[in-house]
Amino acid sequence: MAEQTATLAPSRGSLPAREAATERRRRRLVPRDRGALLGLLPLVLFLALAFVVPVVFAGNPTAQDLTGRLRPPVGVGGSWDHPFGTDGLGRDLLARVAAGARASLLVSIVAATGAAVVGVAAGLLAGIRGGAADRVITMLVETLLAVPFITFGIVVTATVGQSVTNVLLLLVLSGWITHARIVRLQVQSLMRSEFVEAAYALGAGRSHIARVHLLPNLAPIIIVVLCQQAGAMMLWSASLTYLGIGLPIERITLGGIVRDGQELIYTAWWVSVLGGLTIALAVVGFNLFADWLQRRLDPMLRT
Amino acid sequence: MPDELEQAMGRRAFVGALALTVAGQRLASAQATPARPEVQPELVIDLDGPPDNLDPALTYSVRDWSILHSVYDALLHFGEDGTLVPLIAEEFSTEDSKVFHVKLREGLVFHDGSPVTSAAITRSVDHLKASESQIADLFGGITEVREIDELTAEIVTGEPSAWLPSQIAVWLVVFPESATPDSLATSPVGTGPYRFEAMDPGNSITLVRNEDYTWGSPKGAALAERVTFRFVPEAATRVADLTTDAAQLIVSLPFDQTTAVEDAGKTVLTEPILGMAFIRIATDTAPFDDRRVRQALNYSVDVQAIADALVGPNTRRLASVFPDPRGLGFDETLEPFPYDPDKARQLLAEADLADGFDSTIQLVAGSRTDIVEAAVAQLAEAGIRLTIETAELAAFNQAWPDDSAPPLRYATWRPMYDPHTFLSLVIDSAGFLSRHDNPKADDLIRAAAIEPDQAARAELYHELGRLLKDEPAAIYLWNLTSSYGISPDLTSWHPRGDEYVVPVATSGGDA
Repeated sequence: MAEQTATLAPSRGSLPAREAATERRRRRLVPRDRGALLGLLPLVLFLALAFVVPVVFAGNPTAQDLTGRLRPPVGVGGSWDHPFGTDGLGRDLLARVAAGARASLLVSIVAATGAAVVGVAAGLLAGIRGGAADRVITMLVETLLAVPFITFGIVVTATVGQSVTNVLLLLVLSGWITHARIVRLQVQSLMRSEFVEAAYALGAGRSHIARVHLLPNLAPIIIVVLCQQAGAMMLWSASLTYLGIGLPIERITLGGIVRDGQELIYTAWWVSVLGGLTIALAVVGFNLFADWLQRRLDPMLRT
Repeated sequence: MPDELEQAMGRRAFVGALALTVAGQRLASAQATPARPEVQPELVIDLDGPPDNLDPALTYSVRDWSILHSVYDALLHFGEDGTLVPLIAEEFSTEDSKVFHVKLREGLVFHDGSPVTSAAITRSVDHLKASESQIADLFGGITEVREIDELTAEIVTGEPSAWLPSQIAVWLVVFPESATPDSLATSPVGTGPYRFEAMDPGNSITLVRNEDYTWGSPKGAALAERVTFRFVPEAATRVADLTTDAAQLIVSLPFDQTTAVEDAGKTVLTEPILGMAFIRIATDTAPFDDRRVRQALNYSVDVQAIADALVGPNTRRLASVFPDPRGLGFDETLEPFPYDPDKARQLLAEADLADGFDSTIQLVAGSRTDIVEAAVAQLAEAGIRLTIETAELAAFNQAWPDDSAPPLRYATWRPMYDPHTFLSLVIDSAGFLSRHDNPKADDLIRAAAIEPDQAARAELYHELGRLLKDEPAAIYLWNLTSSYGISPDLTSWHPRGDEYVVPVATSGGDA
């Protein structure tokens, strides 16, 4: 999808006229995109779970009740005291899922943003400078691409230990390569466009061209990739935590909830299933959101 | 050794009683081996993970020992009531706990066909002493193995070592002259009820029945022509294997899943074993060098509540490091710490830690996180804020003596028939795995180590138990219980107090 993004030459119309055009386009788009908007539902549900639920149900995600463990959710024999039931240590699962959703969301957004910053910088550098810089960055990207993520994760956590910072670093290290590859290719084609050549001819420096001419053109694709990665990173961090090499145990995370419930899957399915469904909701939500964004931002798809 | 046996016999007679005669042994084997059951063609056993090592000197876990004692035989063997029984030794005796007389059975052959002679004892002792094993020091006390003739030998120690026979039963297995370091690690050859056939690293080990194992071994007779040990870390998968008949015996059945197993028409066997669960407290670092802090840790954890919820009913709590009446040193008069968070806070205040403190606790990745989380939450209420770290089993075992590792670690220890191994490795300040420093405890451990009389050793251990209650070396949790799910037609297999899963037919102590 990334490579299809075409160049957006800066329009030279007057400012009010441009705004009016955008507004017209927006009005036209919204009704046509109603189906796509429906696709945003999972993300909305996920965000509601993360931010609205804790306000409505004031459960404590860490309070244990060893005599009230493994209570089922509402509807399958449980009560509204614990709408999602309780886990193996009698902790309120709804509160844990909500807390886990917030933590996982924070990790994935911070990591995805970090990956975007590093990846875009590397892609710009490789694309604009070319030569040795390009070769080094491309080689680095290809090397990292060859290492499976989980293997990489095991090596990193085995050597530097488990912490939030390490998981973030790991996610950024794995995520930046996508941005770098896409941005590099885009920049290479943009560098040959007339407006960049014109800017060069007028004496603009590389950093000026990058800021004024390249980044605005790259913004849509960067945002789309960032959103896709936010979903992917949620899955990656959950996988790491599930395998016991991600976030430390005492952090409440969705991957951790799935792991906690796995041994209980026959007796208390709800722990893993509700934790897992929440991850699915977030990943599907981010992907559909990225799709929708792409349709809105990509001129090739806008007819 | 059970206390009542020691009391019934005088000191001298008791020491001599280690000399279990042919007649006595025949009686034991007659009891242990029921009428020969039908040998099944195929048996699949799900262990909870792969063994770390097959080299006899480097085996430290039940997984390792289950394979080890299926393929090999030691000189001695723990019978079902916890007493030591000669296995490939026909006689094993000592008068002073310094010279152990061994007479091997006649006519035993290794799986490769070579005969078992007294040279095999020398070979095994040399291997244990020369290895990079955690237990090399224990066998380092053996100064000499005198081969008297083909079948007789004397194991000589520098100092009285009444604890040695218990270690021999675990580690001193015999292997043929053809064994090399490589073959010990990858294709073991012993004298045991099964021959090693194949290993699929990380997945399974296949054994086939040793047809020569017909001499009435007290270990029992092989249950099947072919046994496959599969390594299945997930308890839920093991349960699924059992309920779908993909496995006939599974280990470490979680207490939560016993109903699922019974509903599927399978049998659940639960057996207290000679082992314990505890949270080791390193005393080499502040604030844990203060015994009041270590007491506070014990008062802060509601061990009974955690045991009831997460381990199962009838879990026996620990008062110190002696978990079971079948093992030496158990003291039924010693009461476990009560759950008393107020007392804990008071002790912390006395130690100038009224605001509590932060520290870390380590456990093996994939082990009982729930237990540790439950304890950590209770400790937090007393102001002891812990971060949980996990480590892979091998890294965890490496880190026992590491003073940069977390000062607290959740661990289990087995077997504990004779507490000497645990005490000399973990509690003695000079121990290979130790981060504990208590000169009074060191004195008692070292005195008990060279005391030839078991009753006197038991008394020293009772004193040590009281000391370690007052100056805790750990948060004492509970004795270990082992739960198995088995296929109902597997009636002649019984759990062992040392938890080894050796696929042999035994009476289960009913005879």
